[in-house]
Amino acid sequence: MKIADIKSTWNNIFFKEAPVDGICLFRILLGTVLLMNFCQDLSHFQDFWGPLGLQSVETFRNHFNGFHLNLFHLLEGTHASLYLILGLHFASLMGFLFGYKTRISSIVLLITLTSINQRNINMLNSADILLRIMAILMVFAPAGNKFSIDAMIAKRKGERLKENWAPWVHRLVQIQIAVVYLSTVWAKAKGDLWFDGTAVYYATRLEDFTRFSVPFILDNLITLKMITWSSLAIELALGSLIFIDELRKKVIVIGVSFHLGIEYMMSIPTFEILMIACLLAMFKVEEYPALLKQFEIKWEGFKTKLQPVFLPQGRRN
Amino acid sequence: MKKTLITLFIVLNFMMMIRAQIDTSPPLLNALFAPATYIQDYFSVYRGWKMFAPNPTRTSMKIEAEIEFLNGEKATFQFPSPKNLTDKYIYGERFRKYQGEGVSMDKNSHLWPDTAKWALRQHGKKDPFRIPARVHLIRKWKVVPKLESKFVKHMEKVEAPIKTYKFYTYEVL
Repeated sequence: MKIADIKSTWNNIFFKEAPVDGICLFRILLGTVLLMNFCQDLSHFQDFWGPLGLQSVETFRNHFNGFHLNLFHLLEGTHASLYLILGLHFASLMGFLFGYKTRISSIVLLITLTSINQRNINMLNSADILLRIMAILMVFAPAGNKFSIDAMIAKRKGERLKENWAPWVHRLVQIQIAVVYLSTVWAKAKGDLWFDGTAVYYATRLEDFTRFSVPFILDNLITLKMITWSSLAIELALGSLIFIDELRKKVIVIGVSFHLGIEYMMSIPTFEILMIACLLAMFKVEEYPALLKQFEIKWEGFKTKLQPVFLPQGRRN
Repeated sequence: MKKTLITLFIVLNFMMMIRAQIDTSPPLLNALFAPATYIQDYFSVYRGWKMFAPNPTRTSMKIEAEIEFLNGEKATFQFPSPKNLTDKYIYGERFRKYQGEGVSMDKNSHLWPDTAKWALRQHGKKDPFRIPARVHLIRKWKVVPKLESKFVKHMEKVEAPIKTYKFYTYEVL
């Protein structure tokens, strides 16, 4: 192998232009998860981030000393500041979700999200970290070039936003997602309960995490062991086999089912939904236009099938 | 130029992904990964994914505040605990995380005074007339028994002794 070969492969992976459809779709999925997460937190926002919250502004400032582009550092620790930050966050989140002034919205969203998260870091989970990482990457993506208000405005002006772009952000998103799975397998490989097959037994007995009952699976030691081992196998596949073209779609389907299963059995808010959204970003970047077209045709067919059921009797053909 | 900057950014991202997987911090490694560490600190994005790893915990931890009043009476304040599945999903996880992995840890002792004051304020909304003298923060935890000793059915309440430890006292007056 020559250096020129490495350079050429690198360029092919990260810089050879590809359709932006995938990253634009991911913007909508990520925006939806961020919105859900934000709405959940609004139920106790004063306790989480308020001046009289669980952690005072002074404690936060002492703990996060040094220069941070954190709005809670820059503004007074008052209710008005909190409302301003939350308002900015919501506005930028909406801009990001619907693709209005997408680049600016992404930057403001990253600043407000980091500000809010750092305000009380002791109540964050893996989903918050992954959301923040994705928010950083999305700042650099042409995420508003399709399925967005920006694209509609450009079209109305007779312009057309670029539909092909160097896909390095989308590739980084995909690599990051694969690393999440490989990393978790690596971390679990250091424990003994994942190997003796009892990890899922203990995880599902923690009362804080229980959700719906599945006695025929979770009360049987054999199935518990099978689930434990298959979890490791699925996570390993999601971090590796997912990049093999022939296996990609099957692995994504298995991954989505895996996360839906956890979502049903365990109460781990946001993380499973976020991982499902991330898995939908794992298709081949070049494939998205065809996949979306296929989805559109299927959706139209589905709507046509549904029509006779929902239309009043007199209007049915 | 633009391509070079992007390549640097990509490499930096790879460094951040790799750094989180290495548990040790020898000086050479710290120096090598310094730019990545700076960004990780700045945005608080430590990319280690260790949910239920290396082993899932067997411990459920909660925090309770015991308030002593000037007249010698006592009251117990329970931190928000979701009553149903929806609440558990909406805010339960945040409070679970804060209690179980945040304020209960010795390394987070800087959170104790604020948390005690918050508990006092919350309790004061329902009980505004008694004058508080001090607030104790108490850890309460129970451990899922080992599988060999007892098989606990799914969704069944874990019958295990609840242990307590008073870890902080805030003097109000």
